[in-house]
Amino acid sequence: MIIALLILLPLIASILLFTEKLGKHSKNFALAVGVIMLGISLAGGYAFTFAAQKILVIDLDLMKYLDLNIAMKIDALSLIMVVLTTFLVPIIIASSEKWEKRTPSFYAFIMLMEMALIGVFTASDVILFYIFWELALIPIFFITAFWGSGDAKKISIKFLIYTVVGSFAMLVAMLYVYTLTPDPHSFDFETFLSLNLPYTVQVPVFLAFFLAFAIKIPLFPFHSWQAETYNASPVQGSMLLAGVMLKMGLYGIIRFILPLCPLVIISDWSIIYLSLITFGVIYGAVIAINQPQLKKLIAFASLSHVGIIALGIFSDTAYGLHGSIIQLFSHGVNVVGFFLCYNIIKKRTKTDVIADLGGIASVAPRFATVFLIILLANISMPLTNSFVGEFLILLGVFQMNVTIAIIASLTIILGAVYMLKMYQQIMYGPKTECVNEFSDLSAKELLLFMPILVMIFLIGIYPSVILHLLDQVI
Amino acid sequence: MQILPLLLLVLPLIGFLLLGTYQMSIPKSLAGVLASLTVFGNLIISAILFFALASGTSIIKVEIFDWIRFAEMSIPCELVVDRLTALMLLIINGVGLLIHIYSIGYMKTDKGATRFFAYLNLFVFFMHILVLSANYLMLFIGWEGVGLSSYLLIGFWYGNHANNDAAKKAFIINRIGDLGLIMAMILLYTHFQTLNISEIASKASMLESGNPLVLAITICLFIGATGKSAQLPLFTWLPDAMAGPTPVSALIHAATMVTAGIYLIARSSVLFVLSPITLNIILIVGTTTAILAGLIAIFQTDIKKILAYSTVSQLGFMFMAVGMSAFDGAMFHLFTHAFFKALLFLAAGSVIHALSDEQDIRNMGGLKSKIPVTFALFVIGTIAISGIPPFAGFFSKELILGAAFHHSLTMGLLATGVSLLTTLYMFRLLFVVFFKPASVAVQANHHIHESPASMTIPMSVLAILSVIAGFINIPTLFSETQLFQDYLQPVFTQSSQLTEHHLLVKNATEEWLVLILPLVIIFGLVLLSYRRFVNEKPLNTNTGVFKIMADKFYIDELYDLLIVRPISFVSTFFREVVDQKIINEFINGIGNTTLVVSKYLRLIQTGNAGFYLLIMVFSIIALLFFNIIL
Repeated sequence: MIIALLILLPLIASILLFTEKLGKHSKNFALAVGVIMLGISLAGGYAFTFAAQKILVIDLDLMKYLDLNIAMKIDALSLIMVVLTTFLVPIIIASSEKWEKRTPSFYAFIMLMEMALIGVFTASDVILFYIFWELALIPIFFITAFWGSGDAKKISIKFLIYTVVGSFAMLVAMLYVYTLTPDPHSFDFETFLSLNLPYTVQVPVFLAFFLAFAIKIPLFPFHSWQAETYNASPVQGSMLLAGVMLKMGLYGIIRFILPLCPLVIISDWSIIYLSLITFGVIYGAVIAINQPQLKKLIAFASLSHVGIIALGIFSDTAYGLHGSIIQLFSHGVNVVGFFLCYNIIKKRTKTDVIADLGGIASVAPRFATVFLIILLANISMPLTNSFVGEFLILLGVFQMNVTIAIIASLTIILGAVYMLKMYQQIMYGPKTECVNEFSDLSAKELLLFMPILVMIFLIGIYPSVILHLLDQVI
Repeated sequence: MQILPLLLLVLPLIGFLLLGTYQMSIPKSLAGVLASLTVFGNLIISAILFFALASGTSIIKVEIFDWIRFAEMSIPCELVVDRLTALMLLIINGVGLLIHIYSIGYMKTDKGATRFFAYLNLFVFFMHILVLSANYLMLFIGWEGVGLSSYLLIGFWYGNHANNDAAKKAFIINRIGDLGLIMAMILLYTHFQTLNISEIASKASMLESGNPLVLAITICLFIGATGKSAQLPLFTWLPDAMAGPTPVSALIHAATMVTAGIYLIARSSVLFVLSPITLNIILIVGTTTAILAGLIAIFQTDIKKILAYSTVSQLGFMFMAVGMSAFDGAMFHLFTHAFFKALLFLAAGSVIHALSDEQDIRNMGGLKSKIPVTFALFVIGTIAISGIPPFAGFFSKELILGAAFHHSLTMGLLATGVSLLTTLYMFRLLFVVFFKPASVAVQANHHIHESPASMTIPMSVLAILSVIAGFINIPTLFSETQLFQDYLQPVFTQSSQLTEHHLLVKNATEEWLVLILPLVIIFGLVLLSYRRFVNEKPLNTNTGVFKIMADKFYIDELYDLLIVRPISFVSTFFREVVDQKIINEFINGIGNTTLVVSKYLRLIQTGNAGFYLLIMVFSIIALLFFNIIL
């Protein structure tokens, strides 16, 4: 029931919005639906916690009529991702302004996106997963191409083609594994995961899945769409991309690669992709140090952060996995918080060139505090949400490979370097021309930040919120 | 009893939240009082805890909640108070309270005073977490937290980028140390399956001495300590940190936070005594830092920087003690140092205040009669830090010198040398600021005034403590009982059992030697610097070796050249060349190739049926041909 609601509600809302009948109420309508969705997913979480099976299922058996099986499930991991999605979408909607053109459609696409994302996180059938996975691309493509700035059309097409290439590899792998399932063949997760593929089969399957996920996450060297797309996309699009959509790839690694290709992960060859990821972690952080544009800085910082999460997952230890799942959630919250700060700055100064900004703290102390807290959460300060996750990831990675753990942990230093450098330039020092008119956060804006701040401290001080959920799963 | 440690955290946290949230509406005068009250409350609690532990109670443990728990991992949020913690609590809150009160006067005219006190309370909160935690991961919360407060306070006047640069530098260099601490925790957890400090101590004591695992752990812990306690190679942030308001320098960068490294090692003493190699490394690093910083201090001209280098040097001295397993000696010097160094900083603040923000000692001189109270207090501080009896510094230095001479004659002489450097730079400072004929700047300044009572009273209390604090641990030569060492004795029982014991036998000649020798030289040095510095001659124009020292051995420049610039270069190189030119071009290249290929393939579609037939015929022939060959 809950899953059906989570899928259908945004779909209906989206169709309603597409008709453009709602006019200027579109935003409020979308926001209301978003909040209701959050309520439903929390209710799902509540039901989940007290359910005996620790799993929520819908299984619409349409096999007889349509030769189709719609199976969806919420386990702990799905629940965390669904809550993250429904938590962020209302914030993303609320942060938007009225557009000059086709405002209702903008929200319609966000709603469609929410539905697709929830579909990805709850599907328990491989083909269904694939459908939602591709479906999620469409709204973000239009959001970027239609409401984006600069070279948005060209960049969004590049992004689309790039990710579709990866997805195609994944589809081939899925069909291939399907042929290996025992008769009658099935796309069901359970069937897929109970296969004990021989090593020679695992290698190509791994490569295909890895390509798809690595492009989506993105991992080095498949990241070149990221900074461009963030930059061209409206800030709500960047939030959807960085906050939730990228997590699809990491989620995919946990769902498919870990159970399907265990032999590849423990093989000696794993050092190849681990080194690539580790290099990307440092690469992103180093580029962020001298990055002149705030939005691109967030993109490269994000490249570095998600690399660490991927390492944690691939460490294949309980610590690494638990840590990564905390980070999946926390990174989504933090990066959206970061984009909110970006949005405030961009809206008021009309620029995001770091060197043109300065002295904001003296005119906007409240904003300075909020921004600082979000920044600290991004560099894993203890008592903020990312500290426990990052510590557990490093612990897990260390137990897998000491050298990689040490290199990856250098981001603890590099992160402080690029973040503080940026913060100092933007917030401190003498005021520059474009911040003269800068006003402090209004009560409404502060309210928008509140859920982010609460989440930062909640997970930071009491990470068991997430850890307890995972208890029976991993 | 159980509630008391918790209150220690709650009070400053409430203070911080109140002052932070209502920054705009709370009047400045009230903010200072409020902040001081929370620390005063903490001081009372600390005193209760201190005496409770002195009279029986062995330790007080409070488990608050499960912080991290899954599978077999369990890291609770747990506080523990033992005698070492109780001592640190007294120092933090005692010195902290006095500095808070002093700040009320010092920050009176600053419009950000409320924010200042909010940060101070935040610092006090994190410092308490640091000393109260029962496991390393919680300790790390405090460890990073005090770093954050330090960052905020160094850059308190953020309008000027010089201050912000200093703050950023402090934070980043501290993070390098923090990485060491994180690695240590990962190693500890991997091998002991716990991060509880006392459990680790008892598990580790089963291991044999010189074990490579313990070596790795202790080295990592020590890297953490060098960051926070400003030792080579990570000490360069501390002198720059003087950009913050002077009370901050006194509290955070002299009396409390920077001693966290010593505390960490004393806390983990069992691990350290099991690793003689690490102890030797600490000894070498401590000695080198102490000497280097002492030499630099002699040639500086900024009153606060001289004191900062002095702090680095004194911390090095404490690390020397640690390196010789004289943990109680290090703690005793930490204790006395907190009083006289805080006093000296506050007195320096009073001088700066009197001269309307002048910090260059070349623009001072002749202040003896102009600000007599500050002068008297500064003299007390100077005597105390120089180790002249019967002031506090004498007793703590004596304890360390004793251990040093016992360790080896070389160490004894080196330690004496370090102690003498102190005399040299401190008396130079004293003479130049107060005795030297007034500089032009001072003569022209008609607004020189003594500081208000809110500043002089806390300083006086510190002065009294600097005079009498030493008597709680009188050298064995004169007294049978050593109160301080006896109080801390249970903390270090486990570690002292593990070392082959050398401290027990002491001979009287040696003791007398340690006592008399430095005193004679100190007397000589004071005379010498009086003759050198109290005259009309302008202060040093340094040449040769002296210039190298005055320029701080070019360590900052070296780091800039070897680390900062290369990273900055690589950053731009990655962005402009690797990312833009190579990776992006490659990806676009694939797309463009497809376009180009399709452009030509398109030409084949001519729409001419004859052409298609021709192609078909050729294709069939080709296929047949291939079939025959294969």
